Amino acid sequence: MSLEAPPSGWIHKKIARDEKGWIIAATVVCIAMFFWMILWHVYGKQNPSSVTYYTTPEEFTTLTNSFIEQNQIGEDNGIPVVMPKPESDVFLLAQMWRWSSVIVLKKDEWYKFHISSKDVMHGFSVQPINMNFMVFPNYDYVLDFKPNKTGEYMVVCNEFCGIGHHLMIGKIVVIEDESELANYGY
Amino acid sequence: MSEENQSTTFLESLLNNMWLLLILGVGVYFVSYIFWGWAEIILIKGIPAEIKDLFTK
Repeated sequence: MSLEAPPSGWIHKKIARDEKGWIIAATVVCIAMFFWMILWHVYGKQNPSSVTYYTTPEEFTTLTNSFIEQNQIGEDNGIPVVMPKPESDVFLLAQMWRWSSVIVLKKDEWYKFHISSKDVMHGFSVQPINMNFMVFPNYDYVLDFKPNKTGEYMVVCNEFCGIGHHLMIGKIVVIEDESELANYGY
Repeated sequence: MSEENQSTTFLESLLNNMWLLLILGVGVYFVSYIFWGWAEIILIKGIPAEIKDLFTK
């Protein structure tokens, strides 16, 4: 039976040359991929900031409301439209079944997104660029964000969050200067 | 020295025991990932005061 141990002393047997070659090749590939994983984390520019803060839905709601008050420039179907300054903190609250605001950003500028949920787990999925992050209640997930193309991006929830999940669509608008705001009705 | 006369080493007896290998292979990762996860959760801090002050004062 194949599951039985080979005869005693097998460990002292010499390994055939071709088998030794495959063992060395597999080990080298494993080690190279391990270090590539670390290098890619630093140089790949595809990773989140790895910064998370503990919060509560009440605290995050207060911060988000205050952020909206400070940066609101209009409304889109009853949802506040905000235009934060470049290099500033942006608060986005997910809740069944809406995102707290429509966000207008400037192209090629850095923003620090803080994303959290008021109730259940949601998904922050920016389309059509397909950038996906999970959004949990009680945790403020920080993302360093620099849009590099102008246009209108949809933020869809990609974690099933209840009966209105499919209606939970937000918006991020990326512009080069304020004169473009009129194109989006703001 | 012929192969029959050689004593069974610790490594050989370990590698011969597939159930022990299975338990180690699953158990080591199970324990270390649980520990890693708890450590990450415990080490999460609150939102820094300098960020909160920007929006609450």
